[in-house]
Amino acid sequence: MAALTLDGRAVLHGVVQLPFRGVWCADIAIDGTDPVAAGAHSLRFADLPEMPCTLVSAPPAFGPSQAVRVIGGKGGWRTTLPPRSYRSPLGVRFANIIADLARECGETVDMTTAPSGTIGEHFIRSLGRASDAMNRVAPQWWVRRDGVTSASTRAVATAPTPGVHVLDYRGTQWVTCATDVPGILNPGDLFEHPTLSGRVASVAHTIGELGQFSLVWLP
Amino acid sequence: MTEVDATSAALNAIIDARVAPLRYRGVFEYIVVSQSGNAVSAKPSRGLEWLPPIDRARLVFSPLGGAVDLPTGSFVLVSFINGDETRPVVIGLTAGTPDEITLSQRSRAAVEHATSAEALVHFLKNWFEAFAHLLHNAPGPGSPGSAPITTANDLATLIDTFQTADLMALDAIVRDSTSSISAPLYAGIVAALASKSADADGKSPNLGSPDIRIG
Repeated sequence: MAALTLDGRAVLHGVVQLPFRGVWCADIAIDGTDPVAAGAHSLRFADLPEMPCTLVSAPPAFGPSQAVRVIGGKGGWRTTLPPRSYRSPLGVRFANIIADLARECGETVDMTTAPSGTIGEHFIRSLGRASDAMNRVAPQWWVRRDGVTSASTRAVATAPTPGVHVLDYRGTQWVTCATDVPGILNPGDLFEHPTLSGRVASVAHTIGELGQFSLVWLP
Repeated sequence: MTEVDATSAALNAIIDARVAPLRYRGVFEYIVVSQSGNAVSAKPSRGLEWLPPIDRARLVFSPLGGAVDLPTGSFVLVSFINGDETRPVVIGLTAGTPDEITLSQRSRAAVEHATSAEALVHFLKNWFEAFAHLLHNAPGPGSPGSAPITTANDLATLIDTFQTADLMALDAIVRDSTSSISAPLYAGIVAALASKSADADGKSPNLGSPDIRIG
């Protein structure tokens, strides 16, 4: 079974980037030259749950594979939204702004993670990407593997992820490692090793001819 | 999309995201839609379609304790305090003049047309000159030849003109030969009032002192 698949088609090589905040994306080459349709797809590491995603780029096939770029969620955070203003004498609630953003761009937000309280009596949302507006009201937002957006920061892991094997160091903050379960490392995970430890800021899960490994950034 | 286009789009997106917090560090022209007290609702003028209309932003260029009535359709300047998109304020006019400026003094209000705002400043300037003069001439306790009652009466009357913005009363003071206001100041104010009164259509700014027509 392939370590990574897109809609069941094996990924020959590529990278799945999981940033600490924002939208995750994958630049991958999948087996076969059949074109990948626009819209929703599902990326999956072999032993992990499905990761709903959306196709954003698929150049013409070259050779025996099809290169594609997919991003987590429904691709709504890239869309440009019209300007909008809010005002409430009691204060404009963060939740209202975020709910409007999600509805207008078509994304799903876990509203239990929305900041409580108000941002002020006014809020001006100018013409621009939905992600820019989200950066203003929930700077630590991120898209989970299940495609749902969280408006609060990632949880801090309290124990190191088991089955992680360090392969190489790049400088003092980049670590190349293999994991017993491919693709299991996430930003926010606790990384512990005799020579280097810390909280994972971002991960690039790489699938290649030499197998699967993860490039971990420890700030 | 070519590789160059894709790279350009990606760079633009990065730059946009980086400069997004700076978007509101400026002054923007809006058009007044409605006004309620010191709260102004306005829409962005042409070329600012990337901004939304603002709803009841605070008007901050009116006099303290006063109010400015803006005609619908007049152009105003909108800014954001500290570049914060949660703090829009209306800071000035770019075209048009206020319908009315109201200055409040406790429960009483003096209403002056906007074109007379300069006149009010001159009025206050001269009023304080007269006030300072009275204080300067007020005799100290126990000083020989003092006339404290007269000075106190003058002072009370002068204060009353300020409270009521009663220019006629001010005029009466300066014309009162028994007042302790000095003769040169008396003559200066009378001359200024006369010259301003002669400016029948009120088109000569900075004419007279105080720059207010009496009568």
